[in-house]
Amino acid sequence: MIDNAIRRAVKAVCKVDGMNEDYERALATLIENTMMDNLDTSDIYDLLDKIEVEEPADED
Amino acid sequence: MKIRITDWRCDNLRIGEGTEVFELGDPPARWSLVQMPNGLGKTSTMTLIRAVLGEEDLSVEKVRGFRANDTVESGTFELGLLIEGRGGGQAKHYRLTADFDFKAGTYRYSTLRAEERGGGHEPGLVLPSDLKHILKPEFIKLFVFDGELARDIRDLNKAAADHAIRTLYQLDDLSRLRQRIRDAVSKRQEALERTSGRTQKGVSRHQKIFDEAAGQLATLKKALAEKKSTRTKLKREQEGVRTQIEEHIARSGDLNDRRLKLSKDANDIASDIQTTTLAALIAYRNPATLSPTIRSRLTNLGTVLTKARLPKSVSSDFFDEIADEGECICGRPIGDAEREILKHRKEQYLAQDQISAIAAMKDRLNSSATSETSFSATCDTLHGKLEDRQANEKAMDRLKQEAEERGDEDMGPLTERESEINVELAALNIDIERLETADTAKQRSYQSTAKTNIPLAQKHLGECKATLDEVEASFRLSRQRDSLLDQLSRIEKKALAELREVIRTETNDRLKTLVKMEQLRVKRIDGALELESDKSSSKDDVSEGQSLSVAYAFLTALLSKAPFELPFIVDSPAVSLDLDVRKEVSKVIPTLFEQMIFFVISSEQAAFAESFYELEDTRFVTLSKTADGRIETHYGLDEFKRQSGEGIAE
Repeated sequence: MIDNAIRRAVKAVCKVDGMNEDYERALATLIENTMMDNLDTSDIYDLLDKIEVEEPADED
Repeated sequence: MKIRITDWRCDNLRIGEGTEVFELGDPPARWSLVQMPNGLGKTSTMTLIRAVLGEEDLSVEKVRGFRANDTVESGTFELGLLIEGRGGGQAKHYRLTADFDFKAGTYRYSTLRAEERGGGHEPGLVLPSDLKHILKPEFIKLFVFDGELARDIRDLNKAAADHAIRTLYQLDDLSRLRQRIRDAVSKRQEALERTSGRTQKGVSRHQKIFDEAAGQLATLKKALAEKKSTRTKLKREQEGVRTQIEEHIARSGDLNDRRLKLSKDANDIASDIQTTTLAALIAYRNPATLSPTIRSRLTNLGTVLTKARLPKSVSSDFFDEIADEGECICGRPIGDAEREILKHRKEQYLAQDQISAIAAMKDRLNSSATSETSFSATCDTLHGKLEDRQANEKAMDRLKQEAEERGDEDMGPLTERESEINVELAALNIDIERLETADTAKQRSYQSTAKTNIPLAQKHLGECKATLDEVEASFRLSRQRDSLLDQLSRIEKKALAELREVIRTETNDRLKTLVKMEQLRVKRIDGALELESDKSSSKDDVSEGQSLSVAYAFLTALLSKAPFELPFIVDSPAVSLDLDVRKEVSKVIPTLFEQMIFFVISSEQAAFAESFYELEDTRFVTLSKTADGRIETHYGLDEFKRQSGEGIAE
């Protein structure tokens, strides 16, 4: 169990960044698993895949 | 979850050679006062409790520092725990052990089976998993109280207060998570074949290379289309010119007859060339037709294989014949027993599919001797046909020349144009082939590159696309990583700010009862505790008593938020306090934790230890040194008071 203060911080940051609830849950779970020494690297990749980034603009 | 310490045992440790056991009761008393003279290992015992709870790394010097004396080679420290699970289930006993080899300076942690002292060891710390992950050295220092911490939490340079909050709420794990994310992304990027560009600049560079390759391919395709269009036009013109030439020749009857015959011959020769080319190709695929020498050798091999009788159809006979011969090919006699074995085992030596392949090979080799089609002869025939075609073309040219010589003025320009068209078409065909051939041998002969050949340009474009895709994916992953790392940093900062405020408020609530003479408050927590009082907005100079009170208030506020009820163990809690403060502290301290263990010296009895005399759930343990140097452990208040009265040397 992660502390509610951390959970609230996750919620606030996700709201500012416009992340959906699915992402928020996954991020909280990732933090919780880290704190329980139960982190799987595939969870990191799964979460990264959920982050949408804009296509890079052409420098030219 | 509730964790309590029931006892500990020392074998050959600082306290003295032999075994000393400290029993705190089962279940343990809420308050335990362990009176030990200085020099008998209070600090060592605190260190050992921290070490076994946190599986701490110990240096060789530290291990040897636990040694009772130079004569002992090994020692053991054993800590008894009583752990009550969530929901108040049956409490379980755990025994954490550290075995020391003083000679080697090594140690080994293990957990003894519950309820069984001296029973089977399990390596390491074997505790409930949700407890084990929080028992880290920094966290243990909070409840196996390190006196240094009382000063450090107010030292602005040490950020110990923040550190304690971060430890309890595992905010440091967020830093660990960030590192895991960096490592995971690096690992995935390193796995990519093309890792040269993970930046936006790299992506732009590879996009440019891809665009250039695409542009090059488009240029080549356009050139091919133009050349093919030109060729179509030229072929159409060629047809027209040839028709006109034929019409002109047809005006002379004898010439026309010859033209018709030459045309028929040309068609026949073309047909023959096609047939002969096919025959040459077939002959080329049969090695036996390439030369008499190869044919002779292959025929010999077929003969040998036939004699060896390896194929399936004859292998069985081969073994049967040997068996029936009465004598083996090595010269040894074959009796009934050997004959039986030969017939029984013969199937093991050749499998069906292998035999079929060998049989087919043998048949082909044997038939190669009778092959009718010779590659060499076919080539000769083809060569002759090509010469015929050349002669036919020359004859046709002569015909055209004769027509011109007979006064046909149009024939000259027509034949000249036909020649020009032929030259142009030949050049165009070469250009087109150079552009579109996928045959690697032809590409080599043309010295083709991605800039001159369409299949190579397409291949190059595919490679550029694959590189661009990987670089883009790698760059995207970097940006996703940066985004996640940034989020985690902000989460950590935000959570820490909220937790600091929660702990600050809780600490101030406790300080109201701990320090009554001058109302102290924590103004803010920013690494360290910054104090203020009713009299001063910044209170840096506090007495030892106030300092300790602030530390207790902060720790109890902090540990009250822990997911477990923990014991609180402290060394010499009142030694630095004057009597008035001791009285204040001793009134408040007993209520702070569910289990408290105080290591005290005799001078702490006054105004501190004596405040526990009337408390029922208290255990008094007294350690004394006899005249001959032995250590004795006594339980009970009377001995506790007596030792103090005797004024043990400290």
